Amino acid sequence: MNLVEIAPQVSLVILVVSMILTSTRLFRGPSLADRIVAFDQMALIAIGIVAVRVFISRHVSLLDSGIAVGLVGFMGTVGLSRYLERSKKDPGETEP
Amino acid sequence: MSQAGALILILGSVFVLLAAIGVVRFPDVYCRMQASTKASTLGIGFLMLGVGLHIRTVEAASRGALIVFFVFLTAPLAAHVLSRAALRSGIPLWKGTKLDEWSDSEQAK
Repeated sequence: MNLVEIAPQVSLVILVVSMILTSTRLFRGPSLADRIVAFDQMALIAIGIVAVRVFISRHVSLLDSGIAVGLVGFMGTVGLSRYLERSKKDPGETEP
Repeated sequence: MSQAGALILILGSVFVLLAAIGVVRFPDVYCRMQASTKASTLGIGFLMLGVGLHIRTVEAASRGALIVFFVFLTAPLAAHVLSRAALRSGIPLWKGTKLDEWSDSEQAK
C-alpha cells in the first residue's frame, strides 16, 4: 500500500467523522440558525466526499454532482435564511 | 505529483474536520458560522487541488476550478444572508462579544 492508495481512505474517514460531528449540531442546535449552519456545512462535506470518490475511481464526471450539491446547498441556505428573517415579529409592520 | 495530490487531499479533509469541530464547539451562532464558512471553503479548495493533481486532465482541472469558484462565490454570500437573518430575528450574541455594531446602530436610531 502506497500513499496514493491510503490517503483517500484516510480522508474519507476524516470526512465521515466531520459529517457525524456536524449532524450532532444539526440535531442539538438551540436555534434554527444553528441548524441552517449545520446544513450548509453538511453540503460542503458532501462536496468533499464526492471529490474523494473521484480521487479513488477517476470518474471525472462525478464532479458535476458536486456542483449540483453545492447549488442545492446554497439555495437551501438562502431560502431558509429568508424564511428565518421573514418569520420574526416585526413591531414596525405588524400593527398599524 | 500524485503523492503530492494525496497529501493535499488529507490536508483538505483535515481543514473540513476542523470546521466541523468548530461548528460543534463554538459558543455562538456567529462563531459557528465563521468556522464553517472559512475553514470549509479552504478545505474544499485543497480537496479539489488534490484531485486535480492526482488525475491531471483538463476535464478534472476545469470541473474542480468550477467547484472552487462556485464555493468561493457562494459561501460568504450565504454566511452574510444567514447572519443578517439571525441578528434581525433576535438570536443573542455570545457574552464575550466585543464589537456589536448592529445593536449600537439600533440604539442610536
